[in-house]
Amino acid sequence: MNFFECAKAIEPTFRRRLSFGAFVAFCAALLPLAPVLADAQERGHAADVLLRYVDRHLLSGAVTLVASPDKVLGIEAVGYNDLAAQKPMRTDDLFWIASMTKSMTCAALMMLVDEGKVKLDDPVEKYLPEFHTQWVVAEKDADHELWKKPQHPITIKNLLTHTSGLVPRSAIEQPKVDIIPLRNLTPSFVMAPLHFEPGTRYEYCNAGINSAGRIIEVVSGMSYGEFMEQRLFQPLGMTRTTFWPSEEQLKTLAKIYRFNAEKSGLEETDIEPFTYPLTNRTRQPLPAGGLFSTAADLARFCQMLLGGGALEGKRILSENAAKQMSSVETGDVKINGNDFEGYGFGLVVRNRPGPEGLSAGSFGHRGAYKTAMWMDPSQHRIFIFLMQNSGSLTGTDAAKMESAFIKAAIDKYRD
Amino acid sequence: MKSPVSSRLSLKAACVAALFTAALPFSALHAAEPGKDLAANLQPFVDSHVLAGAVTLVANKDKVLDLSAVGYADVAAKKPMTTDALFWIASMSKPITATALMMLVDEGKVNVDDPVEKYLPEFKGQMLVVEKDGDHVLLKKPSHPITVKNVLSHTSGLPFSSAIEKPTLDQLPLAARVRSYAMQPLDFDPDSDYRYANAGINTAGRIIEVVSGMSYEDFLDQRIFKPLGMKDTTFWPNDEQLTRLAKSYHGNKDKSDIEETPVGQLKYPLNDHVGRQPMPAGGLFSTAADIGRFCQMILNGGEFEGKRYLSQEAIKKMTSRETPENLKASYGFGWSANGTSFGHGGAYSTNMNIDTKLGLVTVFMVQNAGWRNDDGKKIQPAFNKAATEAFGK
Repeated sequence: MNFFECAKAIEPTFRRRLSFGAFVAFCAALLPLAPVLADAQERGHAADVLLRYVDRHLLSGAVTLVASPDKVLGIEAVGYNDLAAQKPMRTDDLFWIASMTKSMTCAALMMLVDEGKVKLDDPVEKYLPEFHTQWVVAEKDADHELWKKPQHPITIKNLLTHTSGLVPRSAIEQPKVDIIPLRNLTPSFVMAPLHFEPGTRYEYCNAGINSAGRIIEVVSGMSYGEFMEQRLFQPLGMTRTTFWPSEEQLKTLAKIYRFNAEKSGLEETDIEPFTYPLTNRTRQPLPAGGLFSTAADLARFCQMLLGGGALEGKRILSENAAKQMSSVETGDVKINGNDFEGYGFGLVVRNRPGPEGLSAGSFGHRGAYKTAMWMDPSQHRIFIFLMQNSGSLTGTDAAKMESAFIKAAIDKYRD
Repeated sequence: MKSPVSSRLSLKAACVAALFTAALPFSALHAAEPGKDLAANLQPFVDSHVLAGAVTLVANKDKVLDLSAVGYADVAAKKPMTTDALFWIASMSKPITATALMMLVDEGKVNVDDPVEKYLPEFKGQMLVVEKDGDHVLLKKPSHPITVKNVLSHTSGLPFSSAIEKPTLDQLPLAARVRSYAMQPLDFDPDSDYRYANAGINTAGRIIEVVSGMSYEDFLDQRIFKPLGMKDTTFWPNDEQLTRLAKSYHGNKDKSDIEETPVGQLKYPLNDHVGRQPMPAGGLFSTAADIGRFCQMILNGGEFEGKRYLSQEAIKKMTSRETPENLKASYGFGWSANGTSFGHGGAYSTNMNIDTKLGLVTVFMVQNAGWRNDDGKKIQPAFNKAATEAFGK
């Protein structure tokens, strides 16, 4: 490889980090090392497929990670943490992972199942008495509504699999979701009737997972935030996972972007449902989506799950619990009208191989601002994709980027 | 001349204490402004351990005629009640909220006949329970959506409070609480019945916020408390005010005496601005003097000491009966209306009344969480009688 080929190979990655003069000097300095460094400096597989999105102003930046159950195989940062400041993304940057929190909340609840303190088939009202008066809508039109008693009360399993029929969000969780404490929030979930008979349908439901978080509080005697910190994040060494980023951590928080009104580019914005400052400890930790985390921390959680509930000799969940939560628990109920995916406990589960190369049986979860984590038990791989886009980027576009990364990663790290 | 009994423990100790305190000069134990020391009429109730202490006020349009205190702010500490003592006035907050809302009516920003959903869209589509038993609930559309008039006069069908307002009423932001009222179906068709409901007045408080663009508590502060010089009227007593807070009492287990109790409906500490939220239906603390001034403003037809707060029309509308004639309750907008007399009570037995015929304001301040016997019900009437005898023409 000559100087120019070398320069061409590494140029895009460095284009945004160095001035041209420094860049030329840098490349020149590398000349003698070109054959060795060319490989090491070779543009990463993720950068390969994602930089074009950065160029097209569809992506501000991303962190991607590929791991096996035992080690991190590759971690990359692409593009920018902060476009305006031209601050490059770093691999240890912090992201709002939103609904990926659900997987962790469910893992926490399964710890209580392992301890025999909670049974999945128990009615929720056994732990949360406010759930005693449940009604389900039997008839509804413009002039009347008829509510009846559900044939079965909601079970904990219903909560974890989005089959409870609870309204997805309570009317009082507006405009911000982190103001009302869990113990005041859960009674509001049953003030409205259930949408359907429990267990008969799937409807993605934050209220269900938030209720599971409240059960964790009631059963453990600890606040939900404390339980997560002490029983999950600390034992797993997830030191950068929190509901309340510190001032230090905020410096590494990837900025949130959405498309501008003209759709010509990205403009910075805030996390819409949260109150600021994010450091404020009076903000409520939300079981359904309040966490911030890093790729490395998420990898540890995923390695624990993929490893059957233990990581580096430390057992977090029983093998049974890890298996159950990552298997389809929704039975015949269709998710999104088809059977491509089923749902476990806080985890989407693939019934069939996916176009991006994930095997059948893969499981994972996405977050509202286009973050994602996937675990593939057949290929023994973990894929983590972190970006922050809060609006206008369609699910399809985000999935394209996510898929492009996974495809490239599967290719690169083929056994 | 009577000496207050300073022990609440046993009759024997009481007698000993009585002998001891008999030696203390009366004026050191009773703080009374110039006037007729009407509160002294309530001394027998203090002596019999039914009443811990009270502050009473009588005023006419122009001046305070009597402001006096009796008994204790803190029985155990033997701290005498003083005329500047602070009280949780509870539902006496309702007429104040209604007054604030009527200011917006005067400004043409709110029309009381409007549906609430005009100001608070979360109320759109609210249904009515027409049948309910253990097996089913049938909902229909109400005859009309609830109006601002309905929420002010307890004729809306909204519940007293919602399921989220536990364990105390003052923990959640007003906007969230009002959304929870909108989530539920109504219990009766608007205008068909009367049921005393904090939810209605809290909803009115939320309308004040949305229409004025200010927080409810800031609106009250800027438009009523500051201009009227009501410096001790607040949702969050500060540290100094807390030293003047009269303690609350209820009967002890065997009802032989009174014992101190915290206010069950409120979250402690009371000066926590983050943990506690303002309650339009009943969250205020105040003094007899402050409430006296508020009532004087109302008695003066809305204008007081050179400032106009409300039109006479608004006052008339607010303090006249709004509840349907076939119902027993006689209520205006946030005021209990009894013809030429109107006022309001509070959960802890506080009371304010304006008698337009006699031209008198009477304010009765205690902190009663439950009289230990029926003698308690005689206390306010005793004050009223004394006030009428002294000042009623």
